[in-house]
Amino acid sequence: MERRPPPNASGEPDLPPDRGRAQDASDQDQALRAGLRKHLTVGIPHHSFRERIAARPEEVRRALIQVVTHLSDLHVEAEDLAEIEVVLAESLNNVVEHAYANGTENFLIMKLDLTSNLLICRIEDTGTPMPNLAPPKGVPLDLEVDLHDLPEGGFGWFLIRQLTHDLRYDRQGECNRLTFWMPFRLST
Amino acid sequence: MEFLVEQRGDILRINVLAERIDAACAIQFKDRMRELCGTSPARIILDLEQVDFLDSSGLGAVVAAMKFIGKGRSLELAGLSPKVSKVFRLTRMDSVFVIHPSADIAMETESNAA
Repeated sequence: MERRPPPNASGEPDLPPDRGRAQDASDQDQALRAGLRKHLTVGIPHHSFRERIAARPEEVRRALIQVVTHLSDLHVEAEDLAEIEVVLAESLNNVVEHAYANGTENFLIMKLDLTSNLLICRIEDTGTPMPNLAPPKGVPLDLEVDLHDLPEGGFGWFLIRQLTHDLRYDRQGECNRLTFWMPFRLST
Repeated sequence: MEFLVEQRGDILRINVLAERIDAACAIQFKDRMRELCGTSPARIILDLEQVDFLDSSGLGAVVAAMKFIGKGRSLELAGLSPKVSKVFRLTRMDSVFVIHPSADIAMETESNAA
């Protein structure tokens, strides 16, 4: 794989561009960008995807397949891509199953920015807020139990928490926004 | 959601002919497994070789299947893709299930779970 030179004169890799007016950049965004700098290495040039997804499991599946195909075409390494797919699946399905539990014609927005070796994800919806305005803790589940007490759910947030960095949630007006980032390698 | 089912001796082999066991089909998977395993023999081998991806809903559905199959019988898994395997490992569910490299190997292995 071709190693491209750093895209700016200072030799630092690019962060994804700020979108919109300066006052729109929330504290959440600024903290995310500040936290990311030290993790960047030079990888691939910046790519952005934005998907508007109807809040139905079949549409989440379709969007996932599409995004994974894109990332695979960009040579994101298979094992890292597997983690990305799981995290996106859990995050998107969580919106469909909880934020939009009572709705019918709803949409969510998934924004992905790939910069160098990082995937930055923002998921936005206009459903009900998360309980206590925070993402669930996602603690490891107790598996040392009788067969009939084994958990059939609660794995989702555990997976998200294990595989993501800087997981943040905020509610602005009627909008929920979940952000996190994940590092990835490129296949050789 | 299609399944290929084969009974050989006291083993029921269920081959899942779907690429994904996810939120979009977890309930259907659970319902079909309940039908297929109704009066099955003691050992059930779930062949996941065709399954590329499984999310937490799919995992929950496989756990649910093991629970309704009950203690008198066993549900063993085979042919996990790297992605599927990763989800079992991360959630430590690989410690709960007997997992075989492939269904063919599983068929030749004596049951050690029942």
